[in-house]
Amino acid sequence: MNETLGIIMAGNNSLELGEITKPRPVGAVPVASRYRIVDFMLSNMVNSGIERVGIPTQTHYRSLMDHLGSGGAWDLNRKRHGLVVLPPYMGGGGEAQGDLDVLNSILDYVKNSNRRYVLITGCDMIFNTTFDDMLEAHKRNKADITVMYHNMPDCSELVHHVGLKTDETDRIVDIEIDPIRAFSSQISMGIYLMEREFLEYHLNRCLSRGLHDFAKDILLREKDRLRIFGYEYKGYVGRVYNIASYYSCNMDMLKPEITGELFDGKEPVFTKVKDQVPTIYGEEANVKNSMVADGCIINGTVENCIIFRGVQIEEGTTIKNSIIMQNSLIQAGVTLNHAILDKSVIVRKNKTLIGQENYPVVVGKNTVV
Amino acid sequence: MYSIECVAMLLAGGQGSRLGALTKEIAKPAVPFGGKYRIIDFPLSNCANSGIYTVGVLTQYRPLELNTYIGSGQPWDMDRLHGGAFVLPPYVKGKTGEWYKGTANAIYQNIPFIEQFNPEYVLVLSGDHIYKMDYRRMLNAHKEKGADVTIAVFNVPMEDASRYGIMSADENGKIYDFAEKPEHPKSNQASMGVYIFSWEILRKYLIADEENPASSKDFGKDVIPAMLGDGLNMYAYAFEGYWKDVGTVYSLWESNMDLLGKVPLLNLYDDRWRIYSRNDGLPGHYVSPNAEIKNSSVTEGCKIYGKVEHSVLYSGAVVEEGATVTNSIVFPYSVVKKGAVVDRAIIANHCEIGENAVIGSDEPNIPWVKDKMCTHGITLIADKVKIGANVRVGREMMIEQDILGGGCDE
Repeated sequence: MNETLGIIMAGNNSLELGEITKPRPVGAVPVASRYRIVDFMLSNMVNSGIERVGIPTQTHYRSLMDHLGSGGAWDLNRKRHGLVVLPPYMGGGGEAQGDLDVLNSILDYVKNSNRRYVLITGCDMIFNTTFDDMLEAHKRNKADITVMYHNMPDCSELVHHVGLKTDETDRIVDIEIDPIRAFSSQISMGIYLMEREFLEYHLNRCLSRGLHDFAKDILLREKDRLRIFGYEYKGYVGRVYNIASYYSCNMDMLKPEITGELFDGKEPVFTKVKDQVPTIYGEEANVKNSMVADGCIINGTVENCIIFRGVQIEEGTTIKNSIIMQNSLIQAGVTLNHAILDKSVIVRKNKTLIGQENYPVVVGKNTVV
Repeated sequence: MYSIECVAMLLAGGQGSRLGALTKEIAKPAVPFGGKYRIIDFPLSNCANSGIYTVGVLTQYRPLELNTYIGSGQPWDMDRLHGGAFVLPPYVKGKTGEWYKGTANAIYQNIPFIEQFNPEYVLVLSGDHIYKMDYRRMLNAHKEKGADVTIAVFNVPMEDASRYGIMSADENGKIYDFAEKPEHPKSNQASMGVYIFSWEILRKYLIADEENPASSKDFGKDVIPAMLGDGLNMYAYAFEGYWKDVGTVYSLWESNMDLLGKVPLLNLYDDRWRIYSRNDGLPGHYVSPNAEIKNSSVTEGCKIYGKVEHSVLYSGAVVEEGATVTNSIVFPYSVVKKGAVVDRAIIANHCEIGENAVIGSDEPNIPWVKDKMCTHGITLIADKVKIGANVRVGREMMIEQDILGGGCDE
């Protein structure tokens, strides 16, 4: 798919993720013990053979730039093409009102890519695929736009969603955006494939008429005039849109059938390498049903947890159903249940933090409890 | 001319024959170590952490895996515009091409490589040891003393001294005697095989040594004694800390065990001195609801359903339900199947230990042929070997071929 330009919209600091997106955009949110959410989309693109990826950012993008660096970890530090993080461009139109403004602000980059196709995505999803079959379908259908969707019988929890209805050829015949009651279980994944020149034309057409939103102003308005097709993704999709979904996506990593699909298949998931030491389990360690990254020292009881890199868990602690991010320190005698600890949190001796399954306690980055 | 102050030459051509089946297809420096590393990661990371980014890696024995592993040198931050990591195999020169005949000859053959960087100093290392050392400090000592040669030394127990090259130095560290594996050692300062030479001097001696037909072209046996004989300024640089030659099956096992314990002898938890390695990009390891792990080191990609105690598991190793791994090291991507028992063993890469099989058994059901390289009760299973269900492999055996059945007690 090297004739395709990948554009990953880094997104805003989603309000729904609260403390977790205070210091970072959604794409830079840590998941699954050693990854950031953007790793999955970026790896999917690289594994599809896409060699040129742009990531337009809006706010708080330092954390994301820090993670992506020059793109070497994804094999994208190239002379030709490669990875570029595109900081917000504030000249002209002021703050972006919609995704079309963001795309317009990188129009030169899009044009200069000289690729035939453009794949536009978000970075709030955990899944492992390649886009080759989608491109095949796009060509076969002679589509103007192909939208990747998945089947989600219950989408009532989704904060925003685009529901689709397709005919037997997978052509999209109806669309609803954020309906109160879902009208379809076919939910767009916000992944759009089209020709670059088509995008350039419609960007110009929309913005000159004061329209700003891809889904509303292109998909919905033009669904009858354009050939817009769906492409169903049938595998596992973890969508992160609020604290509860962030929690459950992480807990999905304790299901071997899901981690098998994500990590044991043909296509690897790339991430920044930190060269941490393997994790050491002490004499007092009692770990069950957990995913643990490297660089940890574990001496306590840990059950149903996701433990990120460099976490230290001292003697006499009991940690259950929790997510502990990088470099946090849990001192002796602490009890945690249903807690999410952001990076570099210290929980002092004998403290207790207990949340509820549908409402975990979230402790912000660098907090001392 | 662009010049680099200090170029490192890493001798990585050794076979490591006392590691038996582990070095059948790879050179010793490529042998896995410590969960996610290979032996060569230690000297390479030491170089990177010491700010030495120009490293020639001299290969000879089975270099292919090592070549791929080092690649552009990127994992050690050695993908540089000037300098970087270079794999240097022996090469043909007109009609006179030849193998590296000894450690000194290997550097001699690469004089043109070194000259390209116009260095003042050359650091000679071996790819056989596990240690964390700041070569910059050694280089500073070399400069301060105005030395021609500085040799890193390590205090070994007096009773072991006759296994090493032993230096005798005065109170200023000036070396006045050197003996390779002496019967009656005069000191317990062993050479670590880490040398800093002022390049002009080394160059002269390498050329002279090459012309000497009686020389065996070895640093310890020929070049160092010749320099000492000529009264050069040679200083010992005392290294304190962990240093181990992992040249035997037992020492490799023991050195891995040194990573464990409340206060491990070999502590790699050091943010200022990370050991870098090429990363397989695997997710965090998974511990199942019935697993039990104590006093062990576990890394990315492992899946643990059984019991693991006092062991080191490498990337992607799997211990299935009801299996027990104790006092052992399990190399990358090996699988210990349901109900199997592994004790005091080294399981090499991509092995499969069948259901209810026993590795390290006192009551084997296959002919118990101990291998002289497997000492101290260590059993070694070579790369890609499959051990069938219910087979019991006796202690101190070295298994190089699949044993799929033939247990003689059914």
